[in-house]
Amino acid sequence: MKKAPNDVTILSVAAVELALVVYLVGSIVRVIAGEPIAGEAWEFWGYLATAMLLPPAAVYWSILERTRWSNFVLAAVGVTALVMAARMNQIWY
Amino acid sequence: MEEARNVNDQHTPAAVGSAPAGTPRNTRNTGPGRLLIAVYAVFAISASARAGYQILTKFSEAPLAYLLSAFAALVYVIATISLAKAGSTWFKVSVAAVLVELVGVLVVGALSIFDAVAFPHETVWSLFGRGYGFIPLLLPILGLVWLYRRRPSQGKSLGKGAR
Repeated sequence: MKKAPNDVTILSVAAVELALVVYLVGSIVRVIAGEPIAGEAWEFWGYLATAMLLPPAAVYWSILERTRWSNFVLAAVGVTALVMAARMNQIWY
Repeated sequence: MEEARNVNDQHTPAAVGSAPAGTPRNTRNTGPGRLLIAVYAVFAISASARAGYQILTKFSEAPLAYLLSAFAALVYVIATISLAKAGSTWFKVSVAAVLVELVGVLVVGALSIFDAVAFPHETVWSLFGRGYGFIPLLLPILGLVWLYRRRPSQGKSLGKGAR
């Protein structure tokens, strides 16, 4: 853990972004298929759009100063994305 | 970007826990401070979005609670920006914002428990931030600890006279 952000930690954030892209594609497919969103649609898409901006923002913020603390910033992305995904599921169902 | 990366690589061992040699100490945006700012930024965004949503869609239901939401959002935004900036003035802004945040979460948290009738609607600070994993309660405490450790006058005589 006592390392500057490297390929492993940055790729783990890329994996979060990839998961969000899959979630996005899945959501679009299901909406086109006619499945209704239980809550406010724009709230759902707002959450998803914000969540997708987090990984690039965190990577940018963490490579400006490459200390081990930046790895915690990258780790925080995963936690935040998880919370936001849970909220998105609440809105959807 | 490539250049900045190389410079920081040389400093990495020294940068753990303290500022790299030669860097002015009057900053809060280094080391653990970067994580603090990142968390504050997430709260600034989520609190702003939530307050905006509440005020735009159901303001008349609970004007006080939603104005409080907006106030909390503003405090988080100011804290995020001021922590990221260098200099004594921004340091004072940070201290003020984090103190307001601490008082806010304690007062609103206590009121939401003892006077649940007046505060039935959720804000970030309701129930000491339980809806957000108590991070709103933890954040100002960590913020004050960090601000104290990075206070501008530390070990120098500059602090008193300088503005």
